[in-house]
Amino acid sequence: MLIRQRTARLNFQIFLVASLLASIALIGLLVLGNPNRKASKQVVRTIQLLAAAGLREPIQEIASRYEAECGVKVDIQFGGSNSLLSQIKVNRLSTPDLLLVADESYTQQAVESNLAKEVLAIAVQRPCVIVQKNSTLQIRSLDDLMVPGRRLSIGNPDQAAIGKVVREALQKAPTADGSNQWKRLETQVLQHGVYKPTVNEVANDVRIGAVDAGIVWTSTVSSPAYQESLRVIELPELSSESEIVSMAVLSSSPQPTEALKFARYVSAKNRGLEVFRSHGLEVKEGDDWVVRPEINFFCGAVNRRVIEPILEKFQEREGVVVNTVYDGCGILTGRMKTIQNQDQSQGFPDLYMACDRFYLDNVKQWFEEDVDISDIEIVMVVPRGSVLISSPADLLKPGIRVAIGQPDQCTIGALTKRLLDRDGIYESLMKKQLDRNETVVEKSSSALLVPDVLTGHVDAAIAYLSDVMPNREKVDIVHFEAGNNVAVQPLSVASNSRHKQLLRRFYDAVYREASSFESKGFHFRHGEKAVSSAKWSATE
Amino acid sequence: MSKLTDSKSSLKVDKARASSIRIANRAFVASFVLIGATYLVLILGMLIADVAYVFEQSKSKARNSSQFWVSMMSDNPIAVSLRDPKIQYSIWLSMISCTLAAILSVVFAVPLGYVLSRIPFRGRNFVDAFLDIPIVLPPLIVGLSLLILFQFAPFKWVARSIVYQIPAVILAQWAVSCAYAVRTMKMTFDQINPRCEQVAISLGCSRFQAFSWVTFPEARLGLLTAFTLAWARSLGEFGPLLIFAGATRMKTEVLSTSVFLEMNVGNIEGAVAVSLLMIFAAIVVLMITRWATNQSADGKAVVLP
Repeated sequence: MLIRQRTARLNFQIFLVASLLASIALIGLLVLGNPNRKASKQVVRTIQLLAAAGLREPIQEIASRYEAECGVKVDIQFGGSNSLLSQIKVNRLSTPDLLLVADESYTQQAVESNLAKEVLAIAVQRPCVIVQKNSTLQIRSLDDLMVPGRRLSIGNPDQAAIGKVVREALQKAPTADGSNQWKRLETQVLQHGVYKPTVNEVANDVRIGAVDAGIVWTSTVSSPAYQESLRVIELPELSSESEIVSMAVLSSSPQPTEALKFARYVSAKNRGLEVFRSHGLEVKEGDDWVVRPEINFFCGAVNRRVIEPILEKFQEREGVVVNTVYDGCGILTGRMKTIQNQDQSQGFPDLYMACDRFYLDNVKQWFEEDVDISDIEIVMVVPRGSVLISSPADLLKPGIRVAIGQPDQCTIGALTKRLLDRDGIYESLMKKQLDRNETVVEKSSSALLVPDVLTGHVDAAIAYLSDVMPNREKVDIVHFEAGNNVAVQPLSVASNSRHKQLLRRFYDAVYREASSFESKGFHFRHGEKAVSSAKWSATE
Repeated sequence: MSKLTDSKSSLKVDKARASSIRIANRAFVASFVLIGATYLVLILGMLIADVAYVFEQSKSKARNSSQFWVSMMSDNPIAVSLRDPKIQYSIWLSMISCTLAAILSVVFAVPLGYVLSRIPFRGRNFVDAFLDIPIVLPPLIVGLSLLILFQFAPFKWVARSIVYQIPAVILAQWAVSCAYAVRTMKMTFDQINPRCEQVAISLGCSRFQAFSWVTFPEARLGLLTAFTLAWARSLGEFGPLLIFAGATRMKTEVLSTSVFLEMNVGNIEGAVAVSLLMIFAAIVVLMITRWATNQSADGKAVVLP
């Protein structure tokens, strides 16, 4: 009887079942409502790729693998590198997504004329001479090509990358008569040979015997069909010249995120680059293939205001997730030290932007490629119209209430100490702190210092100019004398990151937003010129 | 009170004495109300100051606008925050993660509180003290410890899908809020007379039946308090989150981290606006649980969230 009455009320079983149901419902909500999930539901149209004819075989193989793996079709239109570039320049009607060329200068040109955004380095190519397999020609130097009557096929220097590279290489090689090797070759070709718009046509000319010799990329003739019928001769004058196969995401692309995804696939170590390698190309260092990469970014809290909008755009465009941790740099470096083997899966950052170089130096062994992005001036902030403070020494005057950063907790504190130590003011200020009638308050971050001035609790604070900017019209600024009065923000990549190419594109994204740094009270350091992703790996 | 005066009057004390007692009683109540009100005024004062600050800010912004009131309504920091999809996401994630963390907390707190309260074992005091660790530990250290924990097997194997991901948010909230729930549940079970349970057992119930049908329903008020405390604690949690879950916008950023990060870049209006939203959300949830408490106190059945 008692039991029957009780069952109508809450008992432990009902509680457990209700909790379980509620948890399931909430987890369901979390998963269904996840914005990352929504993004993946977009309908993707076919990717349109303009590719250098010389790279036909590897890129076709990669495209068909991509279709099988990711379900997106890639339409490829082939042509000479330069022809493709001028096609993009002229034709405003079609909207190709990507450009793949055999020579990086074309992608660079495209970027410079605003036709392309990101550039991804893929592989290195070198020119070589080819003759038929059973040919009796003995070619040991360039001179052996310049024999009267020898028929040559060369890529047109104005249309095909191979032609352009040969021209550049040979123009650098002087001849005895004061001219250069290119002029000689040009004459030879005009008299006995032919210019072809793409490198494949050159290879075919040699194969069918229309000419005696041709100059192609080593990779052009790596396919079995050519291997059987052609002989490759490497000449030092030519093979010293290497070109970078690179892919650019075109500004005309209506689906840059999908385009970038395919570009990432092509340049991935364990996907596209494998194929390029099997076709005889020397491949670049690539990222690991992940459908939706996630990178960890440790960012000094000071930089958040300027970094966040850039980060948002970058994530959206690249279709990647950046797990950002904003905090004081002392805390960030402290955390890095607790993470075993600097393992990203356990939270070690791929990318780190410190509040000041000081906080990079003590974890430097784990990072590389650091670039000083910006600096911020350290200033004294006083209430609007205040005349009490005109120099750092005024901070010591009796009755002046001061707020500064705590040197062990935050960068602004450490930098303030360094700055005031110069004239011995810091020590006197600490003495003043001991006086019960005086106020010298220490805070744990720069952003917490400005409100003290705003609310009128102190007469002066020492803070970053960037933290003053949002309330610029309510306070006055007193500058320090130059020297040690700036914090420098370096951006660096973890040495063991598996997404370095992606991270370099983030550098580029930061460089494109230089003006937003200036408007937020930072000084952007233009000293290090913007570096495209391709350039980065070229200089390795 | 009336009982007290009745008994006093039955002792036939003279009138002067009675009136002096009445005055003393009034003074007692008045002083208690006064002391209590001081704290209440402080809370209210802070709230009003926040609202006034937001109002001032929107007024100074609206002054430049041609339509003053329209601008006041739509450009004040709260409206701006509410329109921001990132803040909308923060609110949504906060509500779900706090509720999940609170449910998990009570589910674990009930058995733990019961064991601590009813089952004597060697080292019980030690375990009891041990459970206070998440409460006394500085929040940053909780986050750091979680991060370090996930470097070791078996946690290591799932680190990739937890660290900096949404589960990290819930885990970090739960790690702290559960301690509060356990404390509440233990106190609740301590206050329930074990006699009823013993009678049920003597009448043939198993221990589980006695617990489920007799003791547990008695503990429902404590359960609601534990849930509320855990929920509120989770909402305010931010130190461990910042370290263990990061503050990736549209992913692991919850309201408390929004406030901290807005604050850290000097956006005081934004920080205050988000705080007011948090207060509002908290009041709504606390009211709902209060209402549920009253319902169940009236003896009606209550299905817990």
